[in-house]
Amino acid sequence: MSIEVRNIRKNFGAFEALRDVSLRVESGELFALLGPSGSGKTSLLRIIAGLELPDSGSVRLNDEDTTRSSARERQVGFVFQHYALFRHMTMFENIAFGLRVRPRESRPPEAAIREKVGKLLELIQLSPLGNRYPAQLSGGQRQRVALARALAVEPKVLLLDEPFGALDARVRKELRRWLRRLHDELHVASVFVTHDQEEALEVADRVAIMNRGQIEQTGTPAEIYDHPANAFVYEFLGDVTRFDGEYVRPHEIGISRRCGDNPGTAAMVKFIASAGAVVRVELQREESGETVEAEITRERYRELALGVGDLVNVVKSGLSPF
Amino acid sequence: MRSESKLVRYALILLAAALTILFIVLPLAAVFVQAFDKGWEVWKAAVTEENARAAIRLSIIVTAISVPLNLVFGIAAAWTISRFRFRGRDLLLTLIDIPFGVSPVVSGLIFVLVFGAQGWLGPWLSDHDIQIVFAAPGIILATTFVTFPFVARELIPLMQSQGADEEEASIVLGANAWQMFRRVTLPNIKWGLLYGVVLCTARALGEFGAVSVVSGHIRGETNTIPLQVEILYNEYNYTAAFAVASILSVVAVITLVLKKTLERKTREAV
Repeated sequence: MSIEVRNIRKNFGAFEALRDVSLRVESGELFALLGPSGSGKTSLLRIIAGLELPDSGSVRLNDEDTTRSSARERQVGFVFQHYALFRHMTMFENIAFGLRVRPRESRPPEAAIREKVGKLLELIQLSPLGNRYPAQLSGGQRQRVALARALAVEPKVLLLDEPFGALDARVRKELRRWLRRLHDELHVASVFVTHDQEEALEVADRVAIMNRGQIEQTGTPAEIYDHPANAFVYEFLGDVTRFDGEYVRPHEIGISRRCGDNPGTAAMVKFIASAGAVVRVELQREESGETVEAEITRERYRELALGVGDLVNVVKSGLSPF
Repeated sequence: MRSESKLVRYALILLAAALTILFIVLPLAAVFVQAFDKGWEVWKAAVTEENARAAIRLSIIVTAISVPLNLVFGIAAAWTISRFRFRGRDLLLTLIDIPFGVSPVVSGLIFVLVFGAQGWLGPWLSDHDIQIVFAAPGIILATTFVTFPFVARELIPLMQSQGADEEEASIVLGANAWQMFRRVTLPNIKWGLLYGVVLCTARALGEFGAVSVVSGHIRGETNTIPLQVEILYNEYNYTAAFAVASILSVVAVITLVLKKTLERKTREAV
């Protein structure tokens, strides 16, 4: 199953949410829409699902034009940002909902519904909690139920709006690996919206970077990280610092002691954050007064024996187009 | 907690309790004392007397029609306001509140102005032999108007705070509009809805001002319970007046108990 949107435009009053957006997601692909809040990524997802109508442009699911068909006819699986579980139903009934509302002639018999929901509860490892209500579960558990509920109707495509946004860091990491494995077993086209670049780059096969209602760049995580199409993409993907008026990644700044023929220009160490895998050093350059941020390994940090107030040499090691 | 603030606290609690007893519990008790002053038999005779029975019947009919109407209007209005953005939305919100802001007497007069013999539609109505004012239809219209905001006002904040997410989720999962309403919306708003209906019912049974204007006070025909109480009272028939009034008081007490229970349930549902 593939997803394709062509020349989508959408305004909310005077606000241009989407300006001529086109993209194609192939079957089996896990695709990320990455961008800051207000960039139009959720609007695009809702248009694909049929929860919102575009002002112009078309939506094609599996190469069939579905622009005018309603959300209930599109057979998409949608996982809402805040899960939107039915609060008065047990987990079991939540997952069974999509099967129970089918017209009588296509509705599976009760035994088949029970079996299917039981399997899905097993898949999300919540079998013992089928009789609980949403309010009695943790965020991570609710998230998995929301996903199981979407999968129960065997959707052609899976759409997830900030699927891990409301979870704490540890659960997030666990769940996104789980989602990746699940996606690979399902053979569907999946699109998820996120503002977290690490999440998008780690999980997705391809990523579209969105900004102010437009797609800035589409590509594999490696492509867009190594060859950002413009300054926005470059800045959005990870930390940047300015060096000689150019954007540079902090890990591309080299630090050395001021002695011998060590390259670079003079800068003073203003601040050191040494907790974590890399050490972050804030420096002020002697000549220009420019503040530069550098990231060095712990090993290098110990080797240099840096302290606040030290005078060192800084040099730009990497090459960047901006 | 310091001792003087504790003292102030107890003094305030005592004051509130005293005021409640003085203005609410005592009068309510007085109604029942008066109603049963001359014994159970007299009470029974007063409330089963022909005109009293007619008044009770009319009140029940009026309530049985106006409450379901406002149930439907209320859900429709709350749905429109909480689920859609449109021009004139604020105006609609204000319009819903008009019956609360306008004196019931004025509400009654509006209907006389429109449907009365000298009113805008008066000649047309009399040509077609339709009587609205000084008849049951007028009373139903006035009661429906006065009680209109109760259900809508209760549902709007509830539906706004619950959001449309669950409804959208049900649609994406393949539910049609009726399935969405029946399986998702209604279970989520049921306690708030019941709460609104209870208040609406209490007001419909007890409405005096607007109904008084459109009723015409025809004994045994266009008197509701409150109007019947007034007539009996004006005739110095105190025991009978209080006996009929005791019915309304019982309704009030039941309303209060239901209200308390439903309030808690509604809070849990948000």
